[in-house]
Amino acid sequence: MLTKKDLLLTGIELPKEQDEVQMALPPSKGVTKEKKRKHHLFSPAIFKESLKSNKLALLICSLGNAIINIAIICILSTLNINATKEAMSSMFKNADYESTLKFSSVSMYTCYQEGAESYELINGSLEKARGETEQALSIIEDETLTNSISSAKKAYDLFYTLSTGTEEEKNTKAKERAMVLVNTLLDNSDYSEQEKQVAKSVISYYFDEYANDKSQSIKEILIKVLPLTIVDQVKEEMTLSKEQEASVISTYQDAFTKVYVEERNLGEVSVETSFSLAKVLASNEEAELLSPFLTSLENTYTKDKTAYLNDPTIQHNVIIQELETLVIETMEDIAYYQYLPTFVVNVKTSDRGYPIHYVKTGSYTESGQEIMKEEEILTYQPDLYLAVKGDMGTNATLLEKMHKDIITGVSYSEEEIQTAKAEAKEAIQTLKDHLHTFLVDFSTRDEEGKNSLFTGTVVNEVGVQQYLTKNIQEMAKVELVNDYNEKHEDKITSIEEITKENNDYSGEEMMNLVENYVASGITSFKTYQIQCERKGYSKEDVLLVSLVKASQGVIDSLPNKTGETLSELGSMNMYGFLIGIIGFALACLLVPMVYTILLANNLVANKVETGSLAFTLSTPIRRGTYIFTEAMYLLFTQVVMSLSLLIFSCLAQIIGVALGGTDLIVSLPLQDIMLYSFGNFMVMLAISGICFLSSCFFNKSNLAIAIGGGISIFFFICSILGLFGCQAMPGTIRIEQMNIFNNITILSLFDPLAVMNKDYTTFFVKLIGLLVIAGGTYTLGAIRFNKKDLPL
Amino acid sequence: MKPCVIRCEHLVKDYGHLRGNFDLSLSLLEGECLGISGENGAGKTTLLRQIMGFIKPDSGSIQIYQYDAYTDAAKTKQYIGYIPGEINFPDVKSGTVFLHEYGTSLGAEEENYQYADQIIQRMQLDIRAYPKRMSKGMKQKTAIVAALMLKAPILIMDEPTTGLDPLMREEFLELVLEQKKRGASIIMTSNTIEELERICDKVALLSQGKIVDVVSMEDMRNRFFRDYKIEFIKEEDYLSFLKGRNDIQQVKPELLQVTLRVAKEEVPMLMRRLSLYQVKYLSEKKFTLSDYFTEKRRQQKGE
Repeated sequence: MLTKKDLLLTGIELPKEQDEVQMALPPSKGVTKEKKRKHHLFSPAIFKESLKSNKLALLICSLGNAIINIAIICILSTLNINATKEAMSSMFKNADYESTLKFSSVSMYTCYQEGAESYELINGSLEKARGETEQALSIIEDETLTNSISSAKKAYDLFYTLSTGTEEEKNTKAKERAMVLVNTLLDNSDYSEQEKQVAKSVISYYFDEYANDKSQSIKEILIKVLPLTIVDQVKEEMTLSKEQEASVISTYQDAFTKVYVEERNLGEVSVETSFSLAKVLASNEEAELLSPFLTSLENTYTKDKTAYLNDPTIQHNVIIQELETLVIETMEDIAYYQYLPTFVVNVKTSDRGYPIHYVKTGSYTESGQEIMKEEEILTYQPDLYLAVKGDMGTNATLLEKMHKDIITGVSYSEEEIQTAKAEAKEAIQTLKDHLHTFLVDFSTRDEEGKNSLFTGTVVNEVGVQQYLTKNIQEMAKVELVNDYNEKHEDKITSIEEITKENNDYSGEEMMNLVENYVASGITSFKTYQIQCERKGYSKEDVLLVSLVKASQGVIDSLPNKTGETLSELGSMNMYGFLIGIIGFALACLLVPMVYTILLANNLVANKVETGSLAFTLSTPIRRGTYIFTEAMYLLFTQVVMSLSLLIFSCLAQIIGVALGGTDLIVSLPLQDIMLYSFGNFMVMLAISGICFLSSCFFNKSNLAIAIGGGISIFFFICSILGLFGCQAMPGTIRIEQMNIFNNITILSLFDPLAVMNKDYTTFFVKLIGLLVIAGGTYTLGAIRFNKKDLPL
Repeated sequence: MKPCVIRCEHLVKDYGHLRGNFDLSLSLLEGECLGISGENGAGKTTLLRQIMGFIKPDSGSIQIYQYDAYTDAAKTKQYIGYIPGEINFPDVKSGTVFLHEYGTSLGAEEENYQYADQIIQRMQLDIRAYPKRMSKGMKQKTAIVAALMLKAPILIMDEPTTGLDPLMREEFLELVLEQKKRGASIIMTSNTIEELERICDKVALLSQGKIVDVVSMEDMRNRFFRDYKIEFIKEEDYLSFLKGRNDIQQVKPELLQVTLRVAKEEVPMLMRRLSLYQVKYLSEKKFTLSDYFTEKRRQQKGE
């Protein structure tokens, strides 16, 4: 029933000749004027159409987005965050001052106190020894005594001759009887009670010696026996070993011989004897301390004996000089630790800075728990150490620095130590100067041997503290005035010129504060000293532990983490945080993001799904041209939104500054706003690329929105969560682990923190990442759209 | 022989589940109107999308004049007026704006707009409405205006009559016939075979992505046999008439009816024969395209 022609059309067989029937092209649509259409990549018509269809939305989004930032900036401009920040940082400066002041005052106090006491000890004991020696040496010429002795001698001789028996028995009896007489005689004399005792003792010894050899003159015997009496007296005050006793006796015998046999000057001999006695009587420890003093004094004395005897200041000066050397040497040994680089101590340590562990004591409490005892570990045994909890490590104190090798297993390098010592030297020089002045003042006494620092018998602690406070205040004044001048670019010369009007604290307040710090430092130092002594630490340890503990300010004693957090709060750039991180990198992304997700879908996927693209593509427009134009439009909207954000933010800043938010000038310069804006734009570029790709990839609107929007919103949410791990977040609420979110969101490639830290290289390098993402997604999207089947 | 405007050769577009086009070859000659029919999912729209260059064939090629339908899609568009199967307009304020912009993008002249106005009037279309709010029929009419106003040499229409009321359908078919008269080559799909019958030169039947048959309407009209339905008054007439006839299609003895298929040249003989009997009525049964396809299918099944 079918004709041949029909068969042809079924396509079963196509005649070859038909291929050759080439027809001339008919006139195209639009009939007459055949425009030579060049295939441009960009079609203004499509661009215009896209713009028309959502220009209102674009306008609203651009303005709405900008309003967010304007609001933030306006709010910021009315606040005075920098004042808070300044308060915080001044608090930290104060804390710094506090510990510096406390450390200086406590170490100076130690020096003063030790110096004063040592001075008093050395000078006092020498003077005492000299006085006593002089006194003892003059006993020989005491007429009452010699008269008594000659009377006693006569009585003794009489009793001796009257006695019977052996020589020894006769002597004993004679002494007994004579002593009765002497006692009666002395009891009735005008001697004081003590003098009576001395005299009795002298006579008793005298009889003993006399019994040995009766040919000796009274003087000769006295030279021999007086030292014995002196030793007895010394023994009453201190315990003496046998050797010391013998030495004292021979020293005095020498002295007596020198004065009464060789007839030398009594004063001179007294001085010499006092030196010798000091050497003899000093315990081993004291001897070490004393020997340089004695050597110097002896040298000075030998050079000019008369001057030394007549001018007591010479002795003072020598002692002061030696004391300075001694104290400074001691300080040098420990002060440099303060200047060594610190490290974080993550193990529990004792007061003395050693790591500790607990050992069983073998005894039990009533409830049956074994009592554990804290024990210091004196060698590097990390297995035994008790780690502190979490991030509660503290910066090493001076004592912990001393035991760095035990705590960490690594000691300081020689270089570090040398640097620290060099730094310490300067500080010690100041200390030395102050100590010198102090000791001179201390040794200058009135006629009664008193001054404000010395009560006549002991060191006046209150006086020393007042003296010290005055010293520290003087030093602080210079520092504070310098600080003030630096900060205000002023040239004031005295602390009184700082008043409430030009500073947070007036000069007077600051001086009071200094006084308080000094007082509290010293008070706690004394308290710690008592506590440490109770624990049975050595003298040096007591000093060091108390010094370290007393000079710790409130913030030093906090665990590192807390301290850091507080100091972070003080140094936090609130403007950068709120505008850069919260504003540009989060808040001002949401509106454009939602707009872009919907727009990208509308531009491609939605048109494919509804089929409206059919009309566009049934005109002589290439798919490439279409998709390129739409991509351009999408880019254009991003530029418009970013520009609006930039312009309005800048305007807000300028207006904010004009309205008195002067903090903005420094904390949020226009340059930063521009950089933040640029970063924001780059993020939106990448996000729009992702949405564009998704829109080009899927033919269904809901899929395009779900995937493109889903990814974008996912990144956004990660960015919010990552904020909690962000370095800019105050430490109190920062959770380091949350930073993982920053590693999975592309939004973190816009790094406002880098701008805040002025690390522009990092900032731009990261942005290149966003540019690559944007370029890749746009290109892929366009390629996909060009190749895919369109269900139109 | 007329030159070939569109030629599809061995088109394959496989969507799986027997959807798509499978080794489909077809050609549209200049000035010809080709109708495509077939059940839902037979591959009609897929074929048109490939011609429009929206879809790339898996294999095979489509040539429109000397251009490839996919790679030179943009160039072919200057010759094609297209009515999509599912119509949605870009987001513009009114149909007028849409038509104007669409026309502008194709380089329409004053003449075209005047023509468009004519069509609008004939289709009784209120073009001022917001395109997204338009009813199915209005959208269809607007799309028709857009496709026809430019007097394109090729018209491709995917089910253009859906949503049109019967009156408008008639008007539209008139319009298409006018286009045909103008010399346009037309491809149109429809499920209503009667429409195709009226305007098409040939109709292709698609089933499961393949062309089952192609019918030339000219042949259809000039068939060499006719079907007649005859009812007699008297039973003896009925019985004597039936005796010895081999062209009986169907008999209804209780009604004294008979249906015959008679060769064209034998019609006068039949008439002469019938004059001998008392005939209650005689009607020629029209042979339609759908009859043809039904028959065709029956034959295929029989084979």
